[in-house]
Amino acid sequence: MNQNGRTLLIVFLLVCGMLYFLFSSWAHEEGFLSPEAYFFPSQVHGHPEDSIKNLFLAYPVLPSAIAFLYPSAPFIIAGTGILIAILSLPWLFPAEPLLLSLFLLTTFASPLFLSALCTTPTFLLFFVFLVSAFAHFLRYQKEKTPYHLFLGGILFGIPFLIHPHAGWFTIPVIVSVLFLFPGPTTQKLSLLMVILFPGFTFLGIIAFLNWVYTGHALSFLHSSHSFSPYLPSFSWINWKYALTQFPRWAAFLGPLLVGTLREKKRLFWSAVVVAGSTALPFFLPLLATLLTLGAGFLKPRSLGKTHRLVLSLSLGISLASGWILFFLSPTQFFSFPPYQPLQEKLTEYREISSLLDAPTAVLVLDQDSFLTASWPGHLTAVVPKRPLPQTTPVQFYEYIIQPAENRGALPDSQDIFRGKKLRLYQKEKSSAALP
Amino acid sequence: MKEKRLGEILLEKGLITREQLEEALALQRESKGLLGEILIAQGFLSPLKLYQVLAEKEELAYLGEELPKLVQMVDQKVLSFFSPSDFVRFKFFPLRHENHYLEIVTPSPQSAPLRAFLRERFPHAELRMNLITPYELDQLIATFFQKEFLQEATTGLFFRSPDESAAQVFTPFQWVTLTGIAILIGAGFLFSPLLTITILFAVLNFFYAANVVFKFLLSLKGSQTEYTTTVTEEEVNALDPATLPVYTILLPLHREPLPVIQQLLESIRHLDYPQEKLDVIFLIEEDDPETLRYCKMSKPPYNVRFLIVPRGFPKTKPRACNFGLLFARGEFLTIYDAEDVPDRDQLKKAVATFRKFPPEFICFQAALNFYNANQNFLTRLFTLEYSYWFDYLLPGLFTLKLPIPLGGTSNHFRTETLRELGGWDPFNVTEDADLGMRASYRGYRVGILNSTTFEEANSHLKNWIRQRSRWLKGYLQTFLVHNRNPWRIFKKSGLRGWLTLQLFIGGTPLGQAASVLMWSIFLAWLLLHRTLILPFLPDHLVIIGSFNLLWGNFLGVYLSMLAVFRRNLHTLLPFSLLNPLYWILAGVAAWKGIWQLFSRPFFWEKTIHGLHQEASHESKR
Repeated sequence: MNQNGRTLLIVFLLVCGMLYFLFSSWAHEEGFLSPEAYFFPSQVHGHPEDSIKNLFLAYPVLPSAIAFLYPSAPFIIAGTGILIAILSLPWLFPAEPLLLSLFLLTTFASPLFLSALCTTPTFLLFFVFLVSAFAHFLRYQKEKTPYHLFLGGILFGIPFLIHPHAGWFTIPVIVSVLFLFPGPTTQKLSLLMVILFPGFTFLGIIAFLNWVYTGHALSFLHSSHSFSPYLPSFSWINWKYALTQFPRWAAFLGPLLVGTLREKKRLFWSAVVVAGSTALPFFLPLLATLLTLGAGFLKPRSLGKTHRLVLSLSLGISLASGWILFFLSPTQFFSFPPYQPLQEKLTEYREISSLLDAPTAVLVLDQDSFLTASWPGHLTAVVPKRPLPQTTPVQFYEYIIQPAENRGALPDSQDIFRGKKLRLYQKEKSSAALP
Repeated sequence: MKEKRLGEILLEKGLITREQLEEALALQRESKGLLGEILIAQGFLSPLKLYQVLAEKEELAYLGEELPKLVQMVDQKVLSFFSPSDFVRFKFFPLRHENHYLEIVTPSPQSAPLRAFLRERFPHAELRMNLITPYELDQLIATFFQKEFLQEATTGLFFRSPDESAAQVFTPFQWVTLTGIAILIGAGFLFSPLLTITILFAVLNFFYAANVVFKFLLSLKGSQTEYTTTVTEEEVNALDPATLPVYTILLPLHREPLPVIQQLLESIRHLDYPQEKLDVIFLIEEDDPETLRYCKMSKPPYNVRFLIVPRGFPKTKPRACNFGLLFARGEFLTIYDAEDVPDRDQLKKAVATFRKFPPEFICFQAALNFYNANQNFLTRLFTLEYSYWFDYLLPGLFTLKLPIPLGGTSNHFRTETLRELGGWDPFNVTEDADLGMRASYRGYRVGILNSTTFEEANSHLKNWIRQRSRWLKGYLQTFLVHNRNPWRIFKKSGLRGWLTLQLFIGGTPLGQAASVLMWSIFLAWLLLHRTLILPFLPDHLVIIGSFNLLWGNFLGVYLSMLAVFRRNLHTLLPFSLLNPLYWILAGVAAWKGIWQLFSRPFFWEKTIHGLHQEASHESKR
């Protein structure tokens, strides 16, 4: 890539970053952000030593690491989006400049992508990594360049730092390598070792650190510092949810998958263009991106004038129709995965949140930092691991939340909410001294 | 006699057979070389016989029979008209100069450059030529100029460019800096031990992580092409043998066993390059008569010259190479170790590459690998390491246009530019790495040659530690030399070139030394259940350190795994998981190197060659 290309790429990523940040800030205000987005920043609150421990001992590591850069929910979403864009871009560069630009806009500036990013950031990241990894494996198979194997292995390993279910994907990999890849057995076994080594090592490192610190190698899956306990066992088996999510994920995962197919015949794509142009507007972005990418992966300049025109128009229409639909009915773009245990757990917090209707100094006396995430606007500090009653910190907050099982009395405080799990105290005005 | 062809005369005299003549003529048709040189290079005829016949044919006197007498004949006044390098370059030696004539001895009386050179110096003098063999010419030059040549080989770089010489290990400024840091650490321990340990541990981790990340990025770049193909088969095949230049091969030998020398000669004979255009120089130390005896016993072809490197300090390979460089006649030059087996077409590939790339490329480094990879645990891991280093890291440096530290052998140079650079630094024990960096910082470029030289992997632990500690000490010397003025390096080669010096040259030995410390802390922390370490180190820092160490080791192992794919060494792949053990050994060697940097900076830890042959003999028994 030349200097101009690099500058354009940086500008593109900066623009994307700003767009994602603005969109996720809006989604945050409207309550459209995934609970994940609040969980990860909460990991970083509190004492730095605890935050670092959370990063390495909890799960998932990668999104928490993004939060470590700046602990804010919109920032996490924007960061995840940028990461996805960076991962996807290498597959798009052979495309023609005009189509590439339109494609980039359609994919990365589409409301479908943005809403998926806000509602299922880690799943999206997880699958983009997986798809990129498979794309690299296929490229390696074709070109025999170790670079693709090298990157593919790492990219296949990183999902292990995002979701524990990554392990399931090793099965098709093992089967494909053993039965579909040509070559002698020693070579196949070498390939498998290289592909599987990063993921299992990443898991091993996390498990090892957990074992050293907590005595339980798998505590990262169950600890309250982990997001894993709140996740459904495997979202994809919830077909209803999966079907509603499919168009949104496919809109940008599809191009990546198509990217791996490259060099398909022109006729095939022409046929899909015709089919795409008659598709429902909601699916246009998906189809258009697939078409464009497919066309883009044909040899540059191999497309005829009419072909390019049809593709450009279809992309333009899809982008416009997507945004029109979004402005007409934004809610239909947001559907959250069934974080059932989490929703239940959050009920009491939502009730408390409704009582705290303005930014206020709140002290949360609980080790479960996720519980602080429900009202990021109110939260000013978390002092975990401190037994009750506290001395100094307690005196400086207007409101104090503590787990119901803690029976310690709070001086000069009034009990204003009693739940099964939580209690909310308000400091008596005379003794409150706001910081 | 003059009208008769040389071949006919030699046949008539019964010095060669008709078959030999026909073979030589066939070779001559291809390479357009001189028949006499071809016959010598093929071992069909001795130089002495050839030059005697040539003297008869050309009606010239052959003066090489009694060298002491010839020495007596030299009028030393005439020597002052020339520089000693002129004698090597134009292949002659002056005997006397009177008013109207200049008398010389030469093995090439028909040489046009020689005649032009002498005409220019002595336009009015009549030229009187006598014959001498190239070997006798060397001896003559050495008799008169050994001291000057030796001085040039030893202190040439130091006197011309002291800033680039490792003769001074630390500059005063570096001493002051090091002492200052030591005092600071000492004071820190005295007044705030916890903070000091924390800072040291953080610095250690930062350096280790930076080194790991840098190598990771290099490998990523280096793995992007199937092989950094600087030259294709077609380009090599398109070379006209008649245009191939003389190629010098320097072979520094020291205490080499007979089988190693025999294997070396076989490798040279096997090279796909006109033998008469090979200028092979065996560099044998004066105090090593055994190697000289073995060399003679092996009966090398006559294109091999023996140069005896006089005793002196420092007794290092670069000093011997510098001495050899002064006698080199090739347009290009390469170095091989005694146990090397280069790819057959390596020299042709190098010539094609030099012609393809601009003159700023003064050197091309061929990949090194091992022929005894499966001998034992050490050789397997060494092979993985070399495959990774030469197939991924160096191509990564090349692709990113970064300075390349040369490997020990199979680096191919433009001879004149190498001389201009000052040759190798005899005080640096990784003179090759230093030369690569020096060339880059002087504005030249080093490239990668897609050819391999197979060597013997060190199979004995002690021998391996010796070799490795020398390498790591040498990297530190190089790091110190080029860091005398880091700002200048920064200005000349930019941030990336500067980072290469810090993270690659400095980072390699220091990273390996650091990994031993990190493993020790980590293991102590585990075994002592954190009770002893915890009071000194903050918990979160230990976690970061552990993660850093584990992640760094993971990346190292992973890169090592990939090393097998370019050369299909798949059976070695499981051994890459044992790399952390190997790196601990490297860490031990790094500490030995650091110690020696202060105690014996110029000491050359000799690597013993031929151990795999001993092992195979033993196994046969």
